[in-house]
Amino acid sequence: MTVDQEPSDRALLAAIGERDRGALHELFTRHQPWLAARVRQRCSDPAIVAEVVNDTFLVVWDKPGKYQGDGEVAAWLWGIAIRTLLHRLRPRKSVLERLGQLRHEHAPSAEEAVLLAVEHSDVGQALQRLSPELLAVVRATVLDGLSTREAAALLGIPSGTVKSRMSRARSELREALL
Amino acid sequence: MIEAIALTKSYGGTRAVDDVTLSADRGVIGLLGPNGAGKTSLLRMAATVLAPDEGSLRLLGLDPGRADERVQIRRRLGYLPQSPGLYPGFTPYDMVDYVAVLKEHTDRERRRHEVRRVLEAVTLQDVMHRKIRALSGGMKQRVALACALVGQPDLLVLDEPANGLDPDQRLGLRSLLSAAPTVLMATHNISEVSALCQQVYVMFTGRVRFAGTPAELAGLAHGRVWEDDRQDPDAVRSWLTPTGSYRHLGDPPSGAAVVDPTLDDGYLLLARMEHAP
Amino acid sequence: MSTHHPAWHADDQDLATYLAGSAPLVLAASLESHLLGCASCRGRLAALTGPDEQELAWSRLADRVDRPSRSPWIVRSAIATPLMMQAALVAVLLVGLVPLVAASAFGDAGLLTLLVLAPLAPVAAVALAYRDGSDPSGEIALVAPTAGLRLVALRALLVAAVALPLAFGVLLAVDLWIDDVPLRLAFAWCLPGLALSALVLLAGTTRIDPLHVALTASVGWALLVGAVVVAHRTLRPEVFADAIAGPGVQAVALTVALAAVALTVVRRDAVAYRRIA
Repeated sequence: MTVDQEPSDRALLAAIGERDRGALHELFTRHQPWLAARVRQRCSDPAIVAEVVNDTFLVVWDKPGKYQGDGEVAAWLWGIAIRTLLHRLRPRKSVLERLGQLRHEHAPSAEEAVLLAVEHSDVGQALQRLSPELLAVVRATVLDGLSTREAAALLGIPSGTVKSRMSRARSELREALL
Repeated sequence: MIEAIALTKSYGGTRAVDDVTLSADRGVIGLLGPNGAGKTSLLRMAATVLAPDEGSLRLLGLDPGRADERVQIRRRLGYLPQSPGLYPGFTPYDMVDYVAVLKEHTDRERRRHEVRRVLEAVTLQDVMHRKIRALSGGMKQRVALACALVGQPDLLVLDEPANGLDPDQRLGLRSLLSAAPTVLMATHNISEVSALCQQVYVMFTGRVRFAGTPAELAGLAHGRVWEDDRQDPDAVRSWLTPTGSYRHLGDPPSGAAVVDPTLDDGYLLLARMEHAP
Repeated sequence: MSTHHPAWHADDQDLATYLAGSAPLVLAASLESHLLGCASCRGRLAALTGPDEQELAWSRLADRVDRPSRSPWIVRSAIATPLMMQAALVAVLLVGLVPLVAASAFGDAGLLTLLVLAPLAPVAAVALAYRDGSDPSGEIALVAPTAGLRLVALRALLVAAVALPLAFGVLLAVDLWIDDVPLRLAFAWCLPGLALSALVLLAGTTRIDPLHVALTASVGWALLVGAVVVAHRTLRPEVFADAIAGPGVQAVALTVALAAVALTVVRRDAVAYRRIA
């Protein structure tokens, strides 16, 4: 089992910053399969999936410096991919909306951090009991790291609904876990 | 593919290329000789850079002296000059793309595939988007080689193509060149000739002193190489080999241990004859 | 990369179910969360997907990545090279700024300086196009089928296309802010400038260095302006305009320009072997 990969993903990003196409290929080889698989869970059109993954790596090639140097490179990649998918599925309508977006940047709450860190555990059991609508909201906001507005756009429901379903999910989970 | 008859080129009073006749059809033709032997001048004529003073030259069945035919030759020609100029601020991709445009590859998609193909052929795919000034000498040489290879030319004229390449890259060069129809390359590296060339011309002071196969060049020293454990003052040349014994070139004394000649032996003997009064 | 979950790894069956899209939401969420931090499970997931699919995706990405990094209109057209554009820009700035400063400081004398310098912009453009340094790729570019007069003329035209509007812009600036420029004066220098440039272009087909011709032409033009000034004992630009914009001078300039261009086209063949020998 290969746990440590050489060079590390971060080293690859640094090399990509120096226009090393071989490093891009290596990063692509490591991360394209799971990224494609994960996008495919959220979009059934294979053409769009391919496009989203492609555009994700293009962002990496053009702006590898955007990686802040903290956290998993994989998580950073997913952040790019899910937002690319979002834009591809539901292009934003106006600059005004985008400005509104900036003020509502999503910051994970303590509960969400717990959800993120634990899996195949009690939380998993608890999640299993949630209704599909609530689960979809949890997945979009907690796992995919989207803001309320982005989650609403992805799921095609109003922001208010996302908020109410999320609070329902929170209370159900709290009950199940305590 | 190359037909040169009695080519002559002078600079001032000196004849850089003196009455050279050379004929090559297909395969890799090596041009061997010391620096200043006229190899580069001959190559520049074969690359349509230089017009010969006298003699006739036909490349790919065409006359480079005529403007229209020269353009036709240049469409099918790849040339690696002795000191290739590369833009340091360009990437290898930009550089080869630029040369491809000059070579009339106007279709953007096809040009992209061709540029990528030659850069992969010289194994520069990983660095093809870095600035040339950040590349090593061997990489720069391969960029220039890619410029020569772009467009799959029928005639390749290469001046010291293995300059700055490591042994691994030299091997790669070998397979690259075996794919081209006709290659005329200058070198002062004898091992390259034995590895690459089907035909070899040896030049000294502007004149061709030998023309034949590499085996024939080695054969010049047949029966004239022997080994001994001490130096022999009567030999034309003697040198210490890594095994500790001396290798001698010349007329062997009776009872000497005559060995099979190599290409080096043939070339050295030729060079000796050239300098002998 | 170390994982957050050393105790637990996804099993292949789960990964396969996930890949097929038939994993329940909770399993999928659990796997996704794990995959973010576990390189080894990512590797096993990759092993379960077809290599062909990834190959295809990579070639798709490579098609987007492998593009020239240079601004398209300069290099993709392969007309002007960066070095040349930089040199041209410096020349244009000199031609533009020196008289502007002079005009604001000394009035009429500055306008005259401008008139001396304006026609030299196209002359410099042509001379630059012939310089060896204008194309560091040297012999690589020289043996391209597009090399020769076509390339030189295209380069000169491109630089002139940048330089001329700037020259007019400077005249306009002088007119607006410093002094009234008679309209005929603003155009009077065009034909002489063209004639001088054409002479430099013609020089490129001979063994004479175009740079020498360009310098001679520039000095000649400055002397002409000086002669007019001396003859009329005045610095008024109108007087000079009358002399230069007169039909006689303009007709001569036009004739010289046309003749030189025609001769260059006839002798275009010589450009290809330009001063290489």
